[in-house]
Amino acid sequence: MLVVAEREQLPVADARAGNAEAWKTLFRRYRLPLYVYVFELVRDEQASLDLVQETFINAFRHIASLREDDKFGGWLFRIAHQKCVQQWRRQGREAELREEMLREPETSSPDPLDVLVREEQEAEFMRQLEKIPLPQRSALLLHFIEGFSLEEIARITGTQVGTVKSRLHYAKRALRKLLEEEAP
Amino acid sequence: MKTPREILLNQHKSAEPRLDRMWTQKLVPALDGNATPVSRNVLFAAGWKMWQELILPSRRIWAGLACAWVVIAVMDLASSRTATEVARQTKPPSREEVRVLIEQRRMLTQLIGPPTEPAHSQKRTTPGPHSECAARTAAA
Repeated sequence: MLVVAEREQLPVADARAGNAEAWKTLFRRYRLPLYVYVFELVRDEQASLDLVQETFINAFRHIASLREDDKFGGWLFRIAHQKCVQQWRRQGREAELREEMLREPETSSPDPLDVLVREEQEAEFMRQLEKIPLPQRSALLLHFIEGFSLEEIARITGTQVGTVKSRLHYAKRALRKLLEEEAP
Repeated sequence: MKTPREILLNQHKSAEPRLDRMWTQKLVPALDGNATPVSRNVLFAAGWKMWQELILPSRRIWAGLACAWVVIAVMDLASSRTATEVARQTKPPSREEVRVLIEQRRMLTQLIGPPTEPAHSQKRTTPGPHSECAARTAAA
């Protein structure tokens, strides 16, 4: 069973009008999920904090371009994802990212099963997550953290829905296999 | 049993105080528009951003282009020097050659007539001196 973040009523319209309190509410709602997503992709604490900061500054500046208020979360994660891609470029990891994308299997199949982790496996879960290739990890994190739909993940990462489906399927399978191997 | 979301958020919960500090120290001023947290100098920030996003990721390509331009410049300089030297080395035409050329031009003039100037070149577009105008009127 996957716990999906509830679709709560967020003061996006007020934030668009420049209301600082509304922005504070949005920040408190998304600061940690956004940080987790960025950190798990960049693996650098200070860089992650900087990227979260840049993401919110970008959001302040471009909130007018957001058409649907209920898509705020996806929109915010999309900005953060783009910031991560820029960070990979700065680190010269773009080639690695491209290679991993090429290695990805083309086929896709629906995967109704979700990952549940035993308490004693938590540390192992974090270690295994790090081993998953970047594009698959990105899709998996968006699915885990915010419960985004395939379409939303595709929009955030700038890929096709079929590709996201495939990435999620293989990432979950790999993760489950790794966790099963570790299980006593 | 825990969901991956719970595990992930718990693992990074320690970052929350730093994120809150970020809100008060960096994001609130940015939101108010009092200061840009990334850099106070907007032009410098824009230049730095362009350097990081446009130049730095493709530094090999830019270096290659720079090399190509240096090679082109060197080749251009080398070729212009050769042209000057060639011009210097060229002998002036001999008297016999000049005589033949003049003869050829004269024959050509005889055959097709003297070159006529186009009509518009004879037309005076600017007014002449006032004295000339007065003399013409008197003659008429």
